[in-house]
Amino acid sequence: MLCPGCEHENIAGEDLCSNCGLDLAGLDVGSWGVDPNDPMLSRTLDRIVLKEPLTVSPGTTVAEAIALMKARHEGCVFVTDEAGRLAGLLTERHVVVNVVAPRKDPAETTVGDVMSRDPVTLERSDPLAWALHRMGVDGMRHVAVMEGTRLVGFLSLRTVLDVLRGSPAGSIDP
Amino acid sequence: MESISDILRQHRVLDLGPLPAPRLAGNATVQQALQFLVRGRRGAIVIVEEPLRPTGIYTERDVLCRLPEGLFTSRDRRAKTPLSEVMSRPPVTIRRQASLLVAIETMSSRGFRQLVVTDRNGDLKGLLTTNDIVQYLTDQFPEETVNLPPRLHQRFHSPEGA
Repeated sequence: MLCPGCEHENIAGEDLCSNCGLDLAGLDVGSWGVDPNDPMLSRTLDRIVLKEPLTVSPGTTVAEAIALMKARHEGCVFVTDEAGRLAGLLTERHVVVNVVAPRKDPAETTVGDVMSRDPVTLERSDPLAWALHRMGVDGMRHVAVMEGTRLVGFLSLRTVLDVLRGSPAGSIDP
Repeated sequence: MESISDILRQHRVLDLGPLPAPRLAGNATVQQALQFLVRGRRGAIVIVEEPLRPTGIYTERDVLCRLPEGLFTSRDRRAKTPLSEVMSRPPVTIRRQASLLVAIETMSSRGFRQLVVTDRNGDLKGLLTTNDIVQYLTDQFPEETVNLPPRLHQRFHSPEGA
């Protein structure tokens, strides 16, 4: 195991670091896990300040969507149809993988051509633990938050981490 | 049992285990970097000098924000533009002994989703992403938290829920 003091690689089970003598006892036991009574786990998304989503239509060009993401410093745009229903999601990664890498012209490609359809969504009543679990499992950086069929905001991994570290910016006080 | 804030304060970046860092030299081309970004799935590439000295970072966001227009479609220009011309430098780094809380605060204040992880000598040890931290936390969630149906009104269509 790695000594947290000097970074010497010790044999597993060593009590003292063989390089600097630091007490290593207990360091390799691992965590006992998150306390199930931590109120953070049951806090629902309506207690968190969600970000306002950027929305575009499927016919918007990727070049326009990129300009919007750049101007508003966001990593994704949500795609809604004429009826205002959520139709898809376009992220920086979608643009890199589906437009830039295959050398498509962003001015000639529409968002509808390269977005992911039927994105995973969360409800405002969902607990933060469930949101974290979904984002962790699927490796998503952004998730739409719905109230019924209406898109009311989105949750980014950065917002989640800000809430968890107790930043006042992300939370609505109980 | 620990609260989430205890974990963030007491656990360190090195507790997360291996943090793969796709890496290229500064004279590699934008074309190579794009291939690494697509295949690497880490959201960024670390640019290194010598074997382990990080000199820059090139993220998916940099592709969108910095790629000169012509590079979008010209294979020739992509293959001729060195990464050192388009990367962000110096990269924002974090020591692997730092707590997860410090990592999150650094990400938040510097506006980065990825941090270059180094040891005390400044040698590259990995790439830390926001997703790595979230996955680490959720791996330690009590089982009952994620086995509960997320919504009280949720009904399964078959007895097994499958």
